[in-house]
Amino acid sequence: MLHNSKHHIRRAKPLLGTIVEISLFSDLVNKETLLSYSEQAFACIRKVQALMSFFDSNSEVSFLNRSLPGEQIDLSPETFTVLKAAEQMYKLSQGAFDILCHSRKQYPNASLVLSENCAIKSDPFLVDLGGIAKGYAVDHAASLLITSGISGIINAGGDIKFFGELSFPLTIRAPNFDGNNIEVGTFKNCSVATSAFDLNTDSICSISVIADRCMIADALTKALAHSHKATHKRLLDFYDADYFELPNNQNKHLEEGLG
Amino acid sequence: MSRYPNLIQPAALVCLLTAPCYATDYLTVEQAQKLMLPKASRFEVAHVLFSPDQKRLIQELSGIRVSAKAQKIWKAFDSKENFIGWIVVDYVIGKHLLIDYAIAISPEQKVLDVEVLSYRESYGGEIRSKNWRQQFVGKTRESNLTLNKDITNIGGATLSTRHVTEGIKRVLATIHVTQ
Repeated sequence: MLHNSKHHIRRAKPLLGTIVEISLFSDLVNKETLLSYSEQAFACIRKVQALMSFFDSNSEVSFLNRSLPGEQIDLSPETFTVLKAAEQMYKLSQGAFDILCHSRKQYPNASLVLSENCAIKSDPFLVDLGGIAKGYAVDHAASLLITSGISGIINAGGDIKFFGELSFPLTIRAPNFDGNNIEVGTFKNCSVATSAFDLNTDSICSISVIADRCMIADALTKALAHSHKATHKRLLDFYDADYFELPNNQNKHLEEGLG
Repeated sequence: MSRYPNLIQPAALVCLLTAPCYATDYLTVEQAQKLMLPKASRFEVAHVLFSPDQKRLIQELSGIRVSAKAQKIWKAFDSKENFIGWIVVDYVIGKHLLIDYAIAISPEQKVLDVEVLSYRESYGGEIRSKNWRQQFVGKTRESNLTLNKDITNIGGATLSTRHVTEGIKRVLATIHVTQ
């Protein structure tokens, strides 16, 4: 690493459908303390996974998915926060970001009424928080580390949060996995989420969004990928976010000087 | 863009690696042991050199081919000399990747924790995922881990998840057969 912090740790676990990596740096606390901070951060991520996994039949999301229309479902503050953020993103992106995914075709006017940590479904649809909850898990885990005054990075398979006093370089892998890595700059106190999309060969196929919150960055990559350019500015302005794209054909793009 | 002054300078984008290799080392085996079974006061080596029969049994139980000749296993004991679980170090290998990882397994043969020790990909290490994976904690050999069923696949980088999922399944069978 480029930093000369007295103490640093780097570890990774298979969580959230990917490998979650936590790197922490500090001059003030020792390695053992950093390891215990990382334990707490991983525990946070496990908690979010247990609440919001689509595939875990014991998760709150699965409970909501099994609920009947009109039935009031009590939710944890965590799941409620993510559902509220998803609702706002759905409205602002005019449906480009949608946690109903496959259910939307069947129930085009479906709605999820959210109030006071409760949810009520209008129709028997399924929700999938896969496009937003990974970012939330990163935010949640980072929040307890930020208050402790250490610097670090949490990277959940491309949903990354940089926090603390240090700046960190970021490399994005070419979206077509041809082995090219693109160094995009250094970052400090922000989140960068990258999603790759299978579009036709001439299209942009990796989108990275920079925002304060990783949850917003995560969801915005999907909202931008599935919406018209005309709505991009509005979305980015609303969330005070920036974005950049990596094309499929990296070499061609660089030769043309487009960066 | 004032928050991100160094972002996307076109010149900085030209960073093409001709022989790309993404490699990261995380914890040592000793560090992982202490973190995954914090109540352990000692770890006893219980490495196994597979007999042909053991290999066959593990393959039958897990449905996964056993390519290694041996498995690194430690038995953990607390300060009162009670057996509290196993630590198994395993690796999974694919066309483009090698992942070393450690698994903590309870005396009831359930996965307690998984820690990645090192990660190498010859074509880039980023794993993107549109979905979630079931947590490994609480998985048992009988849960019949399969891709897209118990554990979600990773979009765009399927190798990593499939191999780790299979590896854990094989290790659970290994413990059952050899311990």
